[in-house]
Amino acid sequence: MRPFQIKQRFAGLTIPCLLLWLFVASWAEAQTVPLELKVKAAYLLNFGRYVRWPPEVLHEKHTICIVGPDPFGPLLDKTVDGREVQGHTVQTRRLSAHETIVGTCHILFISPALPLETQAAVLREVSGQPILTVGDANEFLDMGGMVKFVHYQDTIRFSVNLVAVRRASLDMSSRVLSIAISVRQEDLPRE
Amino acid sequence: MGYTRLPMRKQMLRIIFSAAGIALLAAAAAVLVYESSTYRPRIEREVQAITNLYVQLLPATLDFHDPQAAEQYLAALQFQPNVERVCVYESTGTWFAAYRKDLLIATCPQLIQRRSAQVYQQSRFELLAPIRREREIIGWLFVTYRLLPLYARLPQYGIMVGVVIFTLSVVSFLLWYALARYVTTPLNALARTAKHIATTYDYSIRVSKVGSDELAALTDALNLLLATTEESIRLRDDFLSIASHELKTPLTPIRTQLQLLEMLLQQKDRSDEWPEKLLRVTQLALKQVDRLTGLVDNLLDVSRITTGRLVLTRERTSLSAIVRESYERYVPEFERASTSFKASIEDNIEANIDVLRIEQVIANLLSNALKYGQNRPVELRLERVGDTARITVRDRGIGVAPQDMQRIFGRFERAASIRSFGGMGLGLYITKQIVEAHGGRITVESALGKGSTFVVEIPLATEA
Repeated sequence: MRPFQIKQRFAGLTIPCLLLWLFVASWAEAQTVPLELKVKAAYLLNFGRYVRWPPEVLHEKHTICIVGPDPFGPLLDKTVDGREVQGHTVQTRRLSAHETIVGTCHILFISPALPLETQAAVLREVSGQPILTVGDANEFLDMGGMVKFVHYQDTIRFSVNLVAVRRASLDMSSRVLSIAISVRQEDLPRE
Repeated sequence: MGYTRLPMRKQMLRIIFSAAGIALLAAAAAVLVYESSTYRPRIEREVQAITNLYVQLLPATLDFHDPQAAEQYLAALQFQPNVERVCVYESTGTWFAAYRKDLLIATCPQLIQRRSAQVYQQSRFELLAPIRREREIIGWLFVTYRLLPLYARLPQYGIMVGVVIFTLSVVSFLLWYALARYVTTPLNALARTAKHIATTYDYSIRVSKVGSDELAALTDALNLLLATTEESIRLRDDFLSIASHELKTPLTPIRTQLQLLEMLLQQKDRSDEWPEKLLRVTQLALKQVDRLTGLVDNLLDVSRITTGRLVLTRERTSLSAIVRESYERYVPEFERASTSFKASIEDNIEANIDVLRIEQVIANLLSNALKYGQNRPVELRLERVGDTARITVRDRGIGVAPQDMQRIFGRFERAASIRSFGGMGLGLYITKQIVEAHGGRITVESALGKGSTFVVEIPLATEA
C-alpha cells in the first residue's frame, strides 16, 4: 500500500507537473512552430505578387498547390482567405505526388516530408511549365526547383534559381530578387 | 553734382560701374525673391519624389519581412543631406525599418495617425505616405526633411555671384575703355584744335570729322563757326581798308582848299575877285567836311544798330510831304549830273515814322541811284498799296547781279568794286535796318546792266 501511496503521492505531484509541462510545451509549440509556418504561408501568398505568368495560364483564380503531406494544416487557408493576388482570388489545392499538376497550379509547394526522389520526380514533371515551384530541401534548387526557403539569422529567407524561373517562362520582379539571399543566374552542371 | 567736375573718363567709369552694380543688385534681389518664394514647393516636390521612389521599392521588403533590405535601400539617402530621417512602418503600425542621417537624430516616433499628411514644423518638413500594394495598404513611410533658413541656402549662390561680379567687372572695364577711347579721343582732338586756333588766330584750320554722330555734329558746328569767323574777319579787314580809304578821300581836298585859303589870306594884292574866291574855297572845303560828317554819321549809325541803340522817335507824319521835300532837295544834284529825275507822289499818305530816319532812307536810295545810275533817268514814286505806303526808287544803271541781291543789304557789303565807286557799303545796311525798325521791308528787283528798282514798304498809320 505504501508504495502505492508513494506512487499515489508521486502521481499526485506528477500529474499536475505533467499537465503543466504539456501545457507549456503545447504553448511553446503553438508559438514557435506555427511562426515559421506562418511566415512561409505568407511568403507563398506574397510570391504571387511579384511573379508574372504567361497570359494563357491566367484564370479567374490564383491557385497555390501543396504536393505531399501538408505542413501548414489550416494555416495556409487562413492566410489566403479573402486575399487577392494580381486581382485574382486565391485558392489552395492539396495534391498527392501522383496527381496531374500541370495546368492547375500557379505556385507549387513541394512538401519537405516527401522523399527527395519524389520531389525530384515532381520537379521533372513540371519542368518548363509556368509553375513557380517552392520547396524546403537543401538540394531543392539543384533539383531544378525555383525558390527555396532558407533559415537565415533567426528569420526565414529564400534563394532563387533564376535559370529555372526563366525556363518556365516566368518573370520574377527584381524587387523580390534583390531580397533573395542568393540568386542562381546560370545553369550549373547537373550531377 | 560734383560729377561734372570729374574728367569725362572717370564719369563714364562711374556711370558704367553704377549701372553694372544696379543690375547686379537687381539680379541678386530677383534671385532672393525667387529662392524664397519657390523654396517650399521645391522641397515638397523633392520629398514627394523620394517618397514615390520608396513607395515602389519597399513593398517587397514588407511582404517578405526584410527590414535589412529596406534599410539598404534607405541608405542611398545619405546623398540627400537634407533628408534627416525616414521611418517605415508595417500596416499594423509596428516599426519596420529606419534611416537616420546621423545618430543625433531622434529615433522613429510611434505611428499615431494613419492617413497621408504633410506638415511644416519649425525647421522641418514631414510627410507621411502609405505604402501600397495594389489597393491594399501594407505599410507607412514617414519622411522628415530639414528646412534650411535662407541665409544657409545662399552660399550655394556664392560662387555664381562671384563669377557674375568678376565677369561684370571685366566687361564693364572693357566697355569703359572702348567708350572712353571712342568719345574722349575726338573730344580731346577738338579741344586741342580750338586751343591752337585761339593762340595762333589761324582760322583757316578745319577739324576733320569721323562718323556722323553728335561728335561729328559738334565738329561740323566748330568748322562752321571757323568759316563764319574767317568770313567776318575778312569783312572787317575789307571794311577797315575801305573805311580808311573813304575817310581819307575828303581830307585831301579839304587840305588843298585850306592851303588855298591860307594862300588867299596871305595875298597882299587883293583884287575884286578875292572875296568871291575866298567864299568858293570855303564852300568847297565845307562840302568835303559834310561828306566826312556823313561817313562818320553812317559809322555811328552802324554802331548804334549793332549795339541795339537805334531808337526811333516816331510821330504821325505826312509821308507825302517828306518824299516831296527829299525830291526837291535832290533835284539840283540830278541837274548837276544832268540826269533826268522824275517823281510821282501820291498825296495824303500818313505813317508813324521817325522823320529824320525816313529822310535818310530816301536820301540813301536816291544817292545810290545817282551813283550807280550811269546818268540815265531815275524815278521816285510814292503810292498807297493796301495798308502800306510804297516808296519806289528806280534807276537804269549798272544793276545788281542775282547772286549779290541779298548780300548788298549786309554790313560792309558792296556789289560794285571800290575802284570805280566810292562809299563804305553801309548805306543799304542802315536803310534796311531803319525800314525794318519801322515794321516795314525793303526789296530789290534788278538785272545786271538794266538798272535796279528798290521798293520800301512802310505800314500806314491806322486811322485814329
